[in-house]
Amino acid sequence: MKFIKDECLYITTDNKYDLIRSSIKYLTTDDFTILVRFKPDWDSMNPNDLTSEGGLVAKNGMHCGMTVRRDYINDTDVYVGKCIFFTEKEKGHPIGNEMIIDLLKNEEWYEFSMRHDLKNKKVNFTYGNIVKEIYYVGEIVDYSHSWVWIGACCGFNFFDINHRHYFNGDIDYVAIFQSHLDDGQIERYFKNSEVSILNVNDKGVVISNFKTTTPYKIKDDSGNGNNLIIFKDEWF
Amino acid sequence: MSGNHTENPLYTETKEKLDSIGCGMCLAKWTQVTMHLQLGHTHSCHHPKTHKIPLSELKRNPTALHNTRYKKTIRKEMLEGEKPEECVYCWNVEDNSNRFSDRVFKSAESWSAPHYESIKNLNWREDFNPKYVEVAFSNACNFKCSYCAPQFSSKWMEEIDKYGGYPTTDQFNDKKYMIEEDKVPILHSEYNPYVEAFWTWWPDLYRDLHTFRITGGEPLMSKDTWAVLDYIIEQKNPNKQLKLAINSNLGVPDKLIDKFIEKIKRIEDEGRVDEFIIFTSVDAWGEQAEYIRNGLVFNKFWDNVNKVLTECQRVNLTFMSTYNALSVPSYKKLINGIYDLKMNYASADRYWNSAVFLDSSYLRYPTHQTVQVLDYKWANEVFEQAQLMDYLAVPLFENKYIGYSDIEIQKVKRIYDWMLAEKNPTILHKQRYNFGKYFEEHDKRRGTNFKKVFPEFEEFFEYTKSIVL
Repeated sequence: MKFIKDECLYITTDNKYDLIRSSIKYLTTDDFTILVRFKPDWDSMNPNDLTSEGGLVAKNGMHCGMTVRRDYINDTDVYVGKCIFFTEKEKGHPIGNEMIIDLLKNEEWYEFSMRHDLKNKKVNFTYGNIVKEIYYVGEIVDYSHSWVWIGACCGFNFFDINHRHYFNGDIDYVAIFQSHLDDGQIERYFKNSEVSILNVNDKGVVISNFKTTTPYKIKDDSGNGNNLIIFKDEWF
Repeated sequence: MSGNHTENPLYTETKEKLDSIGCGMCLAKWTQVTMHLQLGHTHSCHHPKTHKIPLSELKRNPTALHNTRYKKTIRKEMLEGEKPEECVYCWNVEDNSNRFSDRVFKSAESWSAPHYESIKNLNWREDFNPKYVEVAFSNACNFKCSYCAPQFSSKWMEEIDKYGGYPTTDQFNDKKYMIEEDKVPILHSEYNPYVEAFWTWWPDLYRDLHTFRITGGEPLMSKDTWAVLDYIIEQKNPNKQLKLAINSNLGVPDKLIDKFIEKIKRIEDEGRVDEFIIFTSVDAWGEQAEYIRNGLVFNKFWDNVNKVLTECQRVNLTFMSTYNALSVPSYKKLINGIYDLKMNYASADRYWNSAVFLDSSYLRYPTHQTVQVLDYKWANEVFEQAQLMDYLAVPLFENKYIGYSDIEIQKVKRIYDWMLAEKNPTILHKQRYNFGKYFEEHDKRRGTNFKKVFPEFEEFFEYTKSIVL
C-alpha cells in the first residue's frame, strides 16, 4: 500500500463486538516481534521539515516502534532506520531508548524487525545482518491504551504534528507476534510474505501482506480480527 | 432490544407518559397488528400469542380483524392501570432488570408516539385503525422450508396430509397442533371471510397507514397481494407517507417476478409510497441453502435478486436469514455474496442507505434445528463469520459507505454468544435425537440426501441417528 502525506492505518486495542481473539493491547508487556517491509519515497522526505521522519509500525504516545528518517549532516544525505521505546525505572519518569541503523539509499525494499525479550529485558532492532540492541532497566512504559499505527506514529489530529511522523512510501508487509522470534523464523516470514500464513506456535497477533482489502480496511490474515483500519478524522 | 433508564431520553420520556396512564400501558395494542387471514388469527405485538377473530364480530365490524372484543378487554386493563397477563414478555424484562421493555420501544416508534393523546382519551370500547400493519393473505407457497409449518405453506400442508407429522418426539408439524390451536388454514382457492373483511376495511385503513407489510405464504402467489399493489397504483391520491414492504421468496415463476418488477417500477417512478422494501429469505449458500429451503433453486434465486435490484433503482432488499444449524458451513459465502450485492447496487437513489441488508436471526423453533444442537467446535466458525462481517464493515452508516452495518454484525455475533450458552444435557440429547429423526425422514419423503449436501455434518448426522432415548 502506498502512503502519501497524512495517510496511515491503525489497529485498535479492542473491538466493540468483542471479535478480537488476541489483541495488541498488552503487546509490550511480554515478548514480542514486529516485522515490516517497506520502500520509502526518499525524495519526498525533506530533512528540514516534518516529512523527514516517517513512522512504519509504532504504538503511539511516547512512541514504541520503528521509523525511517532522512537527515542532512555535514553536507551529506543520511538515511537511517530508527527503533524507539520508552522505559521507566521510577513511575512517572520515562526514558527514551533509541537504536539507529544506517541505510543505503539505493536499496528498494527494506525489512526491519523489532524484538522484545522480556526475561532479559532486551530489545533488538534488525535490518539484514545488522543488529542493534538495548538492555533496559525498569519496565517498558504502559502502552496498553495505545493503538498500533502503520505509516505513522500517530494519526490523531489532536496529537502534536511534530510527533505524528507520517510515512511516505510503500509498505507491503506487517506482522506482529506475541513471542520473540529467532533470525531463522524472521527470515522465513519475510520470504513467505506472499502467503501471509502464520505458524500457530509463533503466537501471531497480526499478519498482513496488504493483498486483501476493502475501501476502509486491510485484512488481518492471522484470524485474530486485528484488521488494519484506514484512518480518517471524519470517521471519529 | 433494551436499554438502561439513564440512557435515551426519548425512551425515558415515553415510559413516563405511558406510566402516567398505567404501568401496563402500551400503545402497540392500538397501533400495531399482525393478521394471519389464512388462519383467522390476530395479535398486535408478536409477543403475546395470536387469538382467533370471531366471525360474529367480523360480520358487524371488519375492523375486528384488529379491534376484537378480546383485544379491547386487554386495552381496558391497560387503561385502568393493570398489567395484562398476555404481555408477560415485557413484565419479565421490567421486573427483572432496569432495562426498557418493548412496550416502551414500540410506543416510542414513529407509528405509535404521535397517537398517544388520542389513544389516552379513547374509550376502551372504541375502534382504532392501526398504523403498523402486517398481513398474511394465504398460506399458498411453492416452498416447504425445513423449519416452517403447514399454516404458512401449502406445500407443507400437502406433505403432512400425505405422510402425517415427522417422527420426532413432538411429532413435528403434525396436524393435531393446528386443530388444537384452531389454526387450520383456509385454502387460497376457498372463500375467506377474513380476506373479505380486509377489503371492506382497506380503503379506510390505507389512508392513515404508516407501514404495511405483506407476508404469507408466498405473497406473490396471492391474488390479494397484486390487488394491493394495483390499488396503490390506481389511487388518484396515494398515501405517499406509506412505508410498503413485501416478503417474497423470489423463487416464483419468471412471469410473476417480471410482473412484480413492473408494479414496483410504477410505484417507484410515480412516488406513490415513502419507501418500498422487499424482504426475502435465504439461510446459507448454494446447495445447502436449497436443502434448508425446499423448493429454492439457488442460482435462479440469485439471478432474481440481481434482476430486482437492477431494474428497480430505489427499492432495498433485506435478506431475512433464519440462522440454523445447517446455515453454519456456508454462511461465509453468503456474507461475501451479499457484500458483493452491496457494492454492485449501492446508490444514493435507494430508499435506505444500503441497497441490501442481511438480517441474521437465530432459529429457536423447531429446537432440533437450532445452532445449539451442534458441537461447540462449530461456534468457532460462527465467530469467524462475525469477524468477516466486521472486516467488511462500514466506518459510518451513511449512504456513501458500502459494507456491513453495526446491527448486521451484532446479530451474527449474538448467534455466536447464544450458541455458547449453557445447555441442559438431557434436553440437548433429545434435540439431537430429533435432529436425526427429522432429517432422516426429510430425505425419505423429499428424495434429498443430507450427507451428500452436508458432508461436514456426516459424522454428526450418523451420531444423532444412533441416539436411543
